[in-house]
Amino acid sequence: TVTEQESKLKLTCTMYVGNLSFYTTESQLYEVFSKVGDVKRIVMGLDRFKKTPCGFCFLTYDTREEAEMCMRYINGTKIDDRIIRTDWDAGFIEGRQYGRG
Amino acid sequence: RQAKRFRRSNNEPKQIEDRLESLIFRVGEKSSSSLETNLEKLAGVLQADIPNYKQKILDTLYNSVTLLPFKVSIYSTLIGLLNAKNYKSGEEFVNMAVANLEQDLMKGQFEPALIKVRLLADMVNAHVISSTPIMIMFSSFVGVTKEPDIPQARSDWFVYAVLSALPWVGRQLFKEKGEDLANLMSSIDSYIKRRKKPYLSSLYTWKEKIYPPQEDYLDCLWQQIKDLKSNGWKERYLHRPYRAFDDILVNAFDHTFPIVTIPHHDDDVIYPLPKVTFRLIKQEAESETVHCVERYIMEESIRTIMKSMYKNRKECASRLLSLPSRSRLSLYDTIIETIFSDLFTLPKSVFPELFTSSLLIELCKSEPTVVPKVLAEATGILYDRVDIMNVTCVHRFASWFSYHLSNFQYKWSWNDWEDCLNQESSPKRRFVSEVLEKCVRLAYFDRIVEIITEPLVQLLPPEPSPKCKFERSDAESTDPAVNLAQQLFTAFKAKKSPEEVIEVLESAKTSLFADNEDEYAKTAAEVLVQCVLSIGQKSISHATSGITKFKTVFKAIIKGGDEQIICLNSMFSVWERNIQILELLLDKMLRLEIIEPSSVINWLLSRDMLGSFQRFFVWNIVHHCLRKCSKRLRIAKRELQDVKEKFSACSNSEDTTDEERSKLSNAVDNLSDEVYNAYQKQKEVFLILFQRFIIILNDHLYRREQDQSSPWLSFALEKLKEVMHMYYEEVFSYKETLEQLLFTSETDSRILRVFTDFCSLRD
Repeated sequence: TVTEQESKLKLTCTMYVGNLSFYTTESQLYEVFSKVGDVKRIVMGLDRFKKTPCGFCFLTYDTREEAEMCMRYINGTKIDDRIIRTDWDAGFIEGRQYGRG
Repeated sequence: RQAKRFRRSNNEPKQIEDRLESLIFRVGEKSSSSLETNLEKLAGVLQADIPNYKQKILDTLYNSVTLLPFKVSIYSTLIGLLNAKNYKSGEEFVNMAVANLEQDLMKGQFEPALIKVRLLADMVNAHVISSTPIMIMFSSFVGVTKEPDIPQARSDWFVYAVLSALPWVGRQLFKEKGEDLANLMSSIDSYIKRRKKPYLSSLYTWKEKIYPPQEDYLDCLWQQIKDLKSNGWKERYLHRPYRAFDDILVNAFDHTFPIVTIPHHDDDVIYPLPKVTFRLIKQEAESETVHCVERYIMEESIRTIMKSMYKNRKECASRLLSLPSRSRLSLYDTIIETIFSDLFTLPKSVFPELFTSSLLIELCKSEPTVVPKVLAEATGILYDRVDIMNVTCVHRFASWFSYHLSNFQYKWSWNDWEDCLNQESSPKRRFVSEVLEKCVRLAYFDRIVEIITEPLVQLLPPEPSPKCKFERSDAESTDPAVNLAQQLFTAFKAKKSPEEVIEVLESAKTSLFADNEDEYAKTAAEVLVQCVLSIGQKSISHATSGITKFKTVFKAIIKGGDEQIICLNSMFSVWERNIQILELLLDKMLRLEIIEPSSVINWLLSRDMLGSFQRFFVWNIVHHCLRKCSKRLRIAKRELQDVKEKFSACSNSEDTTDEERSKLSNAVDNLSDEVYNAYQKQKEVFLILFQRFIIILNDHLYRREQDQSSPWLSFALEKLKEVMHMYYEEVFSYKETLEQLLFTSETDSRILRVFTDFCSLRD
């Protein structure tokens, strides 16, 4: 439900990161996002058919504070010359990493 | 008129309250009419609503000034106008501010207390408060300097609170309380003269004397206030909107308040640490401006904005850029210098690194014709001084700069930095290597090769690639390690479960190692790590999922500290050429508790790893481990606190069942154990770290008795200092243990000095 979703978003430590270059690697993402805290895991968004990165990822921090810092200071800055967008995500579920092919 | 207009449209009290809140909050923001007109209108609105919404109005005014302290004079004017027509509300406001100041002092919240002191002082200008109670408050603050047996940090704070309010109220006190002010100044003068400053050298950004000098913050502010005094207590920087309303305000009834209670000293109270000034960009007429009071006021305005706007970098940038520039000092230079000053503050930066970075990016984007130029100039000066820069600051500099470049296409006048190539093992050369290595990590190897000048390429780390010891092959081998590796590869290929892999390893103990327990333990640990990393070399995801999948296998093979060291050495040998991946995999191993932070520290500062001692990745990992331990403790403490609160809430309530109660009581016990364990682990890690430091430092001193001033030694001592600084709260909490066990009278004096200097920060 909508309210469930909303309350999840208020507590979540997971972010959706969009507008990434297809060539940006996991290592680069770890390098940037670790600057505000410890990244527990990154799940790269993959093309449904080719299984190659397709411009987004899910990223989980250890704590909410770290995720908040990410929203404040990394959202809207550049990785590989592209302005990236971060947004709260209710939590990664297996299968969601596959984007439209 | 405005008041009537919105009353007609909104009848709901809640809506009116919201409207009032937004009007008060926004006053002084960009507007088509003048600030004075807006203030006058708003005062009229509030005046009309005071009978019905008094508490709401006073609370909102108070919240606004504490949340937006850079608008203090705007709010004191507004309160002045309100007080002129309704002196009761002025009185209530003053009482509220005083009560809150007392509370801050009780709780040891010194930063917010400063804002309240300034607000009270500024209200004298708006005829809300008479100069008498302010003078009394100041005298009692300065009186703290005469208390016996207190840490200097305590008296420093109270003197600082007075000095930092004087630019606002000095002129008024001079006019009305000239004699008292003169007495106050002479008391402060004698205090300033007798202060001791043993901590200075450990706070300096520059290790050598430079001009303008680095000064103790209180000494500097004292000079600046003397400058203010010598100008008849007049300053020209602050905007003082109450002046426009002098004819109204002068007839207002001003208030007094009883003497502010200053709590007695308590050893649990943590006073702010001392600071030193930081000057970088050469301003015009430097000798005149170093100690001019405008400098303090500008820096203070910049800091006040950053401290209250740190959650919103865009708004913070735009407010900084709209500060008045009527001064001998350049606004842009001062902003950049102040930001760097906070970045390089020791022991810790004032703000999170990425706030600083993102703010600088924002400033560059907002004023692209000016800010990047000023920033490049500042960066150039910093680079020129890297050789005399504190190593912790060098590291912060490299970290900020590489990230900044990643947002600006790595464009930089790289050839300016080629001079470092002729200076083998100099800090400058190490700095440029670190910047380049970080750039590679933020981008990729080929991109950085393309962007930098050709001579600098030699400073780049080797092209990242793994180096695995074993490869899958069908050839027979008599070497038990190679043989075991082949068996593991085969098992992995056949998608065997972790249990089956453990069986493979177990049976190899007899078949390949003839039950030689020791030989087997060592080889199995190495081969396992090598093989898992080999099959996971394609990407971080592959490697981490391999480690996660075989977690139980790792735990079965890597049992104690020795195997953990073998594991770390193997990981290092595979990913030595891509430290970034090494760091990530190490983190994974720590998370899965396959290895412990204490082993990582032991390994990094072992004789085997001495060759990398000066490379930044070693310290990256050290800090990662220390941070992890502190974080674990912090989280455990917070959880315990939460459960304790729940428990005490349900103990007092009738509705909870015994079952729930005992469940919570168990949770409290478990979490208490967890907090205790986390604390012990953390303490152990710090003790090991300091012990390793002392061992390798002693080794070095013993081997090179002739060469006492080696760059290696000063690097190592500074790193020791860095660790103490970065975790000063933790280290202070083990102070006694450290004194008894490690930093004793038998410790080499140079090592001991780092510790005693550190302890002086809180004396």
